[in-house]
Amino acid sequence: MTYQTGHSVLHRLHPVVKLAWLLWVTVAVFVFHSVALPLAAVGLALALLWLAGVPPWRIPGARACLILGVGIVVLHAVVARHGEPLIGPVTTVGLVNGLRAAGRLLAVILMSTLFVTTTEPVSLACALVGAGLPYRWGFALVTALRLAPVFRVEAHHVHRAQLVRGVAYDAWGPRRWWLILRHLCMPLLVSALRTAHSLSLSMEGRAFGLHRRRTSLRQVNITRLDVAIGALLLLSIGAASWYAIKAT
Amino acid sequence: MIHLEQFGWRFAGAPSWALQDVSLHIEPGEFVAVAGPSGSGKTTLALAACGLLLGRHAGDATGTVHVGGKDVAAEPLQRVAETIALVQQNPEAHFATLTVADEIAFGMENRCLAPDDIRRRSAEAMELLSITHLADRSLATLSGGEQQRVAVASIVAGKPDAIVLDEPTASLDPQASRDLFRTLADLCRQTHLTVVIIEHKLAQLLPLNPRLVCLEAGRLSDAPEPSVLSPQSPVLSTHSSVLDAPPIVDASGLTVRLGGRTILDDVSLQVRPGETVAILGPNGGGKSTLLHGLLGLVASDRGSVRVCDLPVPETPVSRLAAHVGLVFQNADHQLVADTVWHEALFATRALETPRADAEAQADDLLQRAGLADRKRDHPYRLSWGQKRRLNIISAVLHRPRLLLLDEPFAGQDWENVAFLLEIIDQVLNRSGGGAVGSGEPVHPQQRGACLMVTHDPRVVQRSCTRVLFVSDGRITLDASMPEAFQRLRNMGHDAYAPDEVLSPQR
Repeated sequence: MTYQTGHSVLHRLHPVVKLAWLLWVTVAVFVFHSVALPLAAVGLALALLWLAGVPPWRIPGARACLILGVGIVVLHAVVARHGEPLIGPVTTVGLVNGLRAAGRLLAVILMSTLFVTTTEPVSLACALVGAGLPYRWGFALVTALRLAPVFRVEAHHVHRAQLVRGVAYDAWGPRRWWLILRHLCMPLLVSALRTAHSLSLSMEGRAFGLHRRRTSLRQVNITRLDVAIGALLLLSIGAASWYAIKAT
Repeated sequence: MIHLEQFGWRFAGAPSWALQDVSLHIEPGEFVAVAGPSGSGKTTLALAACGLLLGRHAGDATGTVHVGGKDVAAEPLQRVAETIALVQQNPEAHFATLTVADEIAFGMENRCLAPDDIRRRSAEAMELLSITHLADRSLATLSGGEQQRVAVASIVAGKPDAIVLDEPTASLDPQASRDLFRTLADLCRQTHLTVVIIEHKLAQLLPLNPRLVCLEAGRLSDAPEPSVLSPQSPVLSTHSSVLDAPPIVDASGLTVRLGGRTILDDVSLQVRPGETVAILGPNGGGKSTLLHGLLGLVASDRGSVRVCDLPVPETPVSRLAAHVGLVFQNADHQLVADTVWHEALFATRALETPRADAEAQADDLLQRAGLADRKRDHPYRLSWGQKRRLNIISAVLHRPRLLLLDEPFAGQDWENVAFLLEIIDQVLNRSGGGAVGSGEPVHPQQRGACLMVTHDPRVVQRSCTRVLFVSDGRITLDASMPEAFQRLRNMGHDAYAPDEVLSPQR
């Protein structure tokens, strides 16, 4: 799941505003006991993904998420013994609990997907640095994003390199996982350390860390839409807090 | 510009000095090639000149290193790098950002240059390296040659006085290597930049008239080893293929698609006993995927493959491994054991080959490879050339019928290459029992076969019976040696068939 180039409203929204919304939704679905909130968040995420040009069926792992969500609902529904019976062992409380748990999981996954697919990584780093984050931390994010696919490819290479030496990774059973752990860890660890060392030489050799600040060619400007969405975020936090206080 | 005065260096814990009493003076604007056998100290020299040893690595030092009038030991690395910068062998490990434009601007942003100055210098650097058209591209989508150019541009944009390149063409195809060398020579001439290149591919570099600096066992040498410039003698006797024997590899219509791209397109191939087949072609053309596809390491969309009469991919790779040896491009990918000895025997133990026989042969091969006294060392403590020898030893001990080698000789000097080719020939063409190579020649129909991806025409000339040229996922040439080189020339692939190999001298 990576950034998908696009020109939708969501692509143009300020990365920090999107990040703040993601964090708020993640916290809210778990803090509030409502079942409607996570389900509404799921519905909103699906609609916004479609708007951003990422239909749900094109999301990597969508099928697995759906199966997982249904599984959680079914599990809660048949295991819970409280509430009025509906059909067979399924009770109202079980069904509601299942929908809430599945809704929370899917809301977080879909909102995160929405964020990743509409936010260009370097723009995010620049926006965070512009918001006051030290630039070393911003580049830690960029470096992680750059090296994650590199190490994934390395892992494939190492796996194949050992497979072709007779290590039975293609056999089934728990021994397979032990072999994978034992034989992949060292080459990958060495590769990661070597890459990190080379990269640090490269970055220091180009004056990274020489000054406390650095120029940034990329500028992420705040627009009126960003201000409006940001205000909406503050409003929703305020409303939710007021509701929570009133409920107690 | 660069002045080493009686400089010596020994890495902490190392038994010998990597450099000894080196006094070297490189003037501004010089175009210099540094050559020498594996382990002669070339990379150590590059690190020393760029200020990456003194004060940064544990070790013992003698003498001094001055660059642009600065003592590199007394300045922080960021300051030294304003004068001299290192371009490492692997551009992937050099990149700090995600796009070409960001990468070229990176150094200048760190130095707090004004945005307009950054844009102007970036444009100039891209123009010099002919990569203006790549400005908006993601670094992950570039070819190896393009990545090296971007790495050089990201350094040149900062306007240092000198750059040092450590084997920049190690994984590049001959055409990309030739283009990069020409670009660097032009850069030196046009901008008066001092350029120092550590290289094994001197045949492509020497026509550009660099000053040649030779190292041998950590010391400067007046004249290069003859083998550094060109190999003097044939490596091994060639065997003709056995046409009436069943093929060891039989692939038909092999097609592999990855990420929406066709990597291999309807490839058909038969390899018979006795054949040593060179696979040439540009980077990204599908050569490595061909090797992996033959073993089922990548899923094929269609086509059929049989290896040693076993169907692929129906036969699990771990079962095919008993008949096949595959050496990957990166030596580190196949090192998992905790000692050289265990590493050598790794595959034979996984495949449960009779131990006494394997251990005797491992002993013999490690002795001949000069690794007998390193048996208890961890494999990662070996040099690149030593690791490569260990990879080959580990891949041949179970006496596979088919050897697949993916650029096994990249970054190797000719002495190493010759040794490895000799081992391969003996494993494939001589019987087992006792020390490798001591057995009688096997019946022609029992001989093994070898497919090797290589960029070195000298290797092809001296050890291969047949050449495949793979480009854009297709085999565009399948010819026997020695006609293959002339046919490559006729197709416009001069870089793969340079003058020195065109007249076959087998």
